[in-house]
Amino acid sequence: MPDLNCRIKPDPEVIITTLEEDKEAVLLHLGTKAYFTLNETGLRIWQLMNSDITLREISERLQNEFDVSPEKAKKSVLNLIDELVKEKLVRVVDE
Amino acid sequence: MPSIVIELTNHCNLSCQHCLDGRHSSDGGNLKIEIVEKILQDAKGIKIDFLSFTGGEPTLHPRFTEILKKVYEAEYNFGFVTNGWNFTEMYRHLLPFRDRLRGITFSLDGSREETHDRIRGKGSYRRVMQDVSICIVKDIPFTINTTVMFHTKGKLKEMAELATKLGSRGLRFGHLMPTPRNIANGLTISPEECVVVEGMIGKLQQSFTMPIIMAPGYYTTNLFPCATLQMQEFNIDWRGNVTFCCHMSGHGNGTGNKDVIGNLDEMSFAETYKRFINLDEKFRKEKIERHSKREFKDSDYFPCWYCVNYFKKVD
Repeated sequence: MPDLNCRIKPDPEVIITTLEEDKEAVLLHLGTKAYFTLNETGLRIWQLMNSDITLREISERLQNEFDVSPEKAKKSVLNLIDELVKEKLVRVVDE
Repeated sequence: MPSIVIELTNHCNLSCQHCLDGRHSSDGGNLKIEIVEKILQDAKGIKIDFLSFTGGEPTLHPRFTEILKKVYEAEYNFGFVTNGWNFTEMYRHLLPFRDRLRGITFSLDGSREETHDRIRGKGSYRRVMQDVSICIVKDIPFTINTTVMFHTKGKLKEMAELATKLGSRGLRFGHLMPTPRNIANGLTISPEECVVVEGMIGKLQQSFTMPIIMAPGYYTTNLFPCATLQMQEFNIDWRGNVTFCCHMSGHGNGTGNKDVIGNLDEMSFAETYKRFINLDEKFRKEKIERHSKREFKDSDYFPCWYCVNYFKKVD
């Protein structure tokens, strides 16, 4: 299971489609054909994943941008990444 | 209930390998909105309640949203066929009319990205995948249309599996019209192969729960198998012509217009309907006569090929 020191990258076979003026998104894995929806926070985490930063840094950015507690931000990031890993939608770059 | 297939425009943003020659020429155009209004006014009178928009790419009609609004307000159900290229931008405009939207049909000419993109252009497969993603999230019903070509004839099951996994409400296979360009590009399959393909599709129909249909044009001894020949479907091209031949209406830049029943700029839809009945009677009589005199060639049992020749739609 990824921890806060990990960096995560989207799987290259995943395409993302943003909806409702970028406040929601849906992922589709072209290999498995599995769909996965992202809410506003999830979409922001996905976008930050492409910045080559650790999950800890993503969590810190979320605290500032969404005005949430550090614990809540960490939990949101780790829970989402855990689900995305299980669905093979992301890959752990380093641990 | 009978329906009308309306070609809103013959403009298209893609340049697909298998597209009909001259269909999207620079002298093309868009169906006038006054003609749409005329159709909406008259069609209920002959118990039509469903309109299907095609093209070209129908969403490129400059007044597409306005047309949908009029269709909605006139209480018609509707759907449209699209290549999906600009759906991620335009889907928002559909949402106010969704309760009358019966489905969107996406054209997908290969179960694999490289196959579809070879025919329709790079990036078009991923666009359709984005489109169906939106449909899933927004609960917009969609189906998939696919043309059987030389390089896809062996991947019919793969296509059915893809459509199922994507959540499509149905899959429609169609034969490719054997135009000179399609033959030259090596896209077509022989009449014998068409019959084999139809058998394979028959098996898929039995093994998948998702509805799988074969578009009109398959081999059949039924002389009047399609909706048009059963007076259940009417076709109107972007010029406002009510036409008898569905597959190749508007083809040929004005040549071979024997299938044109009348133009809605010059007459009402109700008048063209009367002419349609007369042409249908003549067509039926002649086809039965030819068949009974054993004048049918093998290709005449593919109804689209029969019509294309009957109306002289190709050279």
